[in-house]
Amino acid sequence: MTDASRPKRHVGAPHDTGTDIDFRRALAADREIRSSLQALRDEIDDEIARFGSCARVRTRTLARLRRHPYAGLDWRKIAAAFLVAGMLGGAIDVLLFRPESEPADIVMVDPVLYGLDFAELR
Amino acid sequence: MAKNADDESRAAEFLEMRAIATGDQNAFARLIDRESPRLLRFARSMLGSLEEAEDVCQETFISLWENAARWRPEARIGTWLHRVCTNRAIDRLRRRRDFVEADALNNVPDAAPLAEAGLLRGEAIGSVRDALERLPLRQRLALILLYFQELPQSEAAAVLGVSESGFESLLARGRRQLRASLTETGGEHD
Repeated sequence: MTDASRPKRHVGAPHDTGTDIDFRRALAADREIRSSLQALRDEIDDEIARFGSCARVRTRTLARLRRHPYAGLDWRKIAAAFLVAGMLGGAIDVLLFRPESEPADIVMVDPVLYGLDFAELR
Repeated sequence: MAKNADDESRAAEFLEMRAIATGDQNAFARLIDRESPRLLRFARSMLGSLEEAEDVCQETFISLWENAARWRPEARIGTWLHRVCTNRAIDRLRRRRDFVEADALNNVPDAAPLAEAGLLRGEAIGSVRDALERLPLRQRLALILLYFQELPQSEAAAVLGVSESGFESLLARGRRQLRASLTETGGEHD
């Protein structure tokens, strides 16, 4: 990982390298900060492991999930159910509620095919 | 080569998010297992409380689940999680009555040279923690994202919503103030 904000050596100034006290001091300070933050990070990681936080987060998160509205739906089963329901409805209509033969009082005649005069005949 | 690896990683993450978007809880559980340790570390270091860190991480993961269907292929899961976690942690910090933004430290001059030895050892972790918590929030976040989370600089900058040069600047100021703060603490202990 590159860290562009770390103290930079003055490239092209060889007489400074190794003798630049400010640079050495900054580098030492950076190392010191890095190692102290690393120690703090390790301590936090230990705490997280000690208290089993990862498992708890996992369990609680999964328990709070709302299922996606269409998750797990099998569209083929839904389509088949509609088809069967339609067929069943049609069969019941035909077998149980068969309409008695009614006299055809009104006959609709398409005026486009037969003309308005014919269509107005009763 | 690295570009290819990056592209492959993004593609894998996109597939993973697509599975989650269809309601695949096993894929989601795997993602939680992978991401929760470092996200918890991040939230814990921001909030100073493991219990609150767990709450914030849960909220962040739930938010990811709910937004999975809108996932864009160019997004990175790690960056997204850190960003949402940051916002939620900041909300909590704001709600705390005793939260004090340490603005007074903003203009601390450059640190005096560090004490040569023994400044940050053993029990001194506590003083590092205190010094970190006293930093202005964005500087603290910059240090945490770089040193704790080891995010690439570009991703860390994206989490904070700043340019890379802006991130470097935050980092430099954060380091300077942390050094100053630790030096003061070191002096007090001496």
